[in-house]
Amino acid sequence: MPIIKTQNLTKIYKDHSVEVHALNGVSLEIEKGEFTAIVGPSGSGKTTLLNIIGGLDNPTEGQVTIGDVDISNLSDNQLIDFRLHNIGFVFQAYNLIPVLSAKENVEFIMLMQNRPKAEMDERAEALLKAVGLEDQMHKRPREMSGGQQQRVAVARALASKPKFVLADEPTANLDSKTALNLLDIMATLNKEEGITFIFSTHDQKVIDRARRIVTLEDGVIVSDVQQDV
Amino acid sequence: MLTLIKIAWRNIWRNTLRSSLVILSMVIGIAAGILFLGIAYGINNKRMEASIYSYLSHVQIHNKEFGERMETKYYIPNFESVEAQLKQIPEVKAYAPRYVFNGGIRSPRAGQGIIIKAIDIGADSLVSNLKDLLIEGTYLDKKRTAPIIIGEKLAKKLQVKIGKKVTVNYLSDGVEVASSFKVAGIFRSSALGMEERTAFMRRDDFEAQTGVSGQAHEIAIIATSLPAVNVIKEKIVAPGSVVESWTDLAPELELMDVMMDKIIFIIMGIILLALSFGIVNTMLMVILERTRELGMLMSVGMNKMKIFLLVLFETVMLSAIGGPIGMLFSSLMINYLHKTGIDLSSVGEGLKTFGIGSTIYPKLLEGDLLRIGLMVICIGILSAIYPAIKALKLKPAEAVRAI
Ligand SMILES: Nc1ncnc2c1ncn2[C@@H]1O[C@H](COP(=O)(O)OP(=O)(O)OP(=O)(O)O)[C@@H](O)[C@H]1O
Ligand SMILES: [Mg+2]
Repeated sequence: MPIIKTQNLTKIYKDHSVEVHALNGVSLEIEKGEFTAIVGPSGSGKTTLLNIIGGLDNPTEGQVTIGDVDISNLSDNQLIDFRLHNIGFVFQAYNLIPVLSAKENVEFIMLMQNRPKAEMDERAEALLKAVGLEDQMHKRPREMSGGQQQRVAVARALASKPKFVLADEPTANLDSKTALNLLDIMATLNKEEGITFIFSTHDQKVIDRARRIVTLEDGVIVSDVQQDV
Repeated sequence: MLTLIKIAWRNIWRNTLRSSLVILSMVIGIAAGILFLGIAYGINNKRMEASIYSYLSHVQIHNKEFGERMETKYYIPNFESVEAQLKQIPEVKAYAPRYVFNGGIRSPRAGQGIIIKAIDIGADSLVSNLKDLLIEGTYLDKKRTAPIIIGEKLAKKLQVKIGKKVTVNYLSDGVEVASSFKVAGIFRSSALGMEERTAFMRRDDFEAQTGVSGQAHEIAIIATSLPAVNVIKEKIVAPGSVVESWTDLAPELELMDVMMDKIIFIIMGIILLALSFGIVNTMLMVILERTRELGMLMSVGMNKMKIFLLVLFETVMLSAIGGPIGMLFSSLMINYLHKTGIDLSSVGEGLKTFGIGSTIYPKLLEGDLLRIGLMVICIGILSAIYPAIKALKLKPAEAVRAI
């Protein structure tokens, strides 16, 4: 059974009576353990798709099922709670709370889940170590480089033990070397811990690291290929 | 919860300048309000004191029948026994017996009906400030021609100056008395009608002119403190007399304080309201700036209650810093000014006619700070709610996209 299943997703934005069809019937299944890139030109609907899968936005039509839950049936508050326990998020920027240290940022998500203090502490340290930031744990975001901040974001996304991680252009603000470094960390977590990653990108070098590539154009899936890395 | 408070607290200092300005405006606003309140009470106090020392005193004793007509036959019954009691009551700071009666005063140019008070200058100078109200001449020192002190307006009407003779006639126990006086002093007073219609003479001159002795129509008493006034009133046993406190005689003076109290709190409310608009505005700016951050927090699963509290705490803390500093600052200021006083002589010539100096001593009433504190807290919470609600209205998908 796939962990994510979308059926015929349509999204129409209405902007001053101008209708934008951001998604036009997207059906997609994602299995546990995938390392999938959503690619396509600007405006093709990548962000829209990830937002709908992540329960941040509602589709105009169609369904999203995560595990065995149809998230279109959830109320706003249920959806927030569902996100907290099931989905990890990495955004292009503004991922972290600027007034908290790296470790506090990672712990914050577990705090909202009401995990025991000892577990929070231990897990935050382990995750920061896994993304190679054991020396930077007590730094605030502005004291870290863009790449380091994104690594903290990945650690934070994993802290809640989500079913999968959604990353919308996580490398867009990074230079290519740092971007590949982040991808390597994600790929390792995928391989060794079996974490499912779905990320969008423009960057060909990043696309090369993906094991499955879903290409969108004008809100339609135009290709869906597997590749060996 | 603790983490939310920690984040809110640190968030305040993300823009130190902006937060400091908000806090500073609170401090200044509250301090200005409280200082104004303290000065207003101080002026009120001065007014009250002026009335008490110029004509009211704290407690007055009269014959029951004396009333408005002021017939000379209505002496205080058993004056000696009453006086003996006053000497025994520890709350009595000073007292002065007076003869008080109606009469007519005439100069070669004009005449006027007046109230004459015959005072014992030694005792009276302890209960009244007539001496300080003099703008010309001297107090009632013993002279061959009986001295009299009149108000400036009366002097103008009679067209007399210091040293000029006037004739006063009055009825004493039905006997017409007419005597010559020399104007010894001229006073100025803001008390209603006092300048036109009151004159002061020596008690012993009155006794010499009439043959009356050891009596009084009025005893004016000054208490050791304001709360002691009612104690004195309770303790005096004087059958046939009425014992009245200053609040009985001039209830409007005390009412002023109560009214002032209300007006001040309205003003304080307006100041706080203005401050709260500043706080709301600042917090709305903060939310606008942090749209993406708030969107991220909602996306990763921070529930609405927590988002609400986060913004609420931050706003409440802003006022929770400014409020107490403002209050502490202004109460220290009032305490200091209460000791040193504020000299308002440059501001108003009119203050001089109070006759007790133009220096006012700002003060606060008991419980004022507490009430202002409660108002600050209410305003702090009220101004926190709107920004917090505004934050809740953000949609995560749009917020994370926002530029
Ligand atoms: N809130 C909105 N209101 C109106 N139109 C929108 C809104 N959000 C997105 N769109 C439109 O929907 C289409 C898909 O946008 P989307 O952001 O999903 O594309 P994308 O593939 O993520 O692009 P990019 O690579 O630039 O991030 C675009 O034409 C965009 O202009
Ligand atoms: Mg996008």
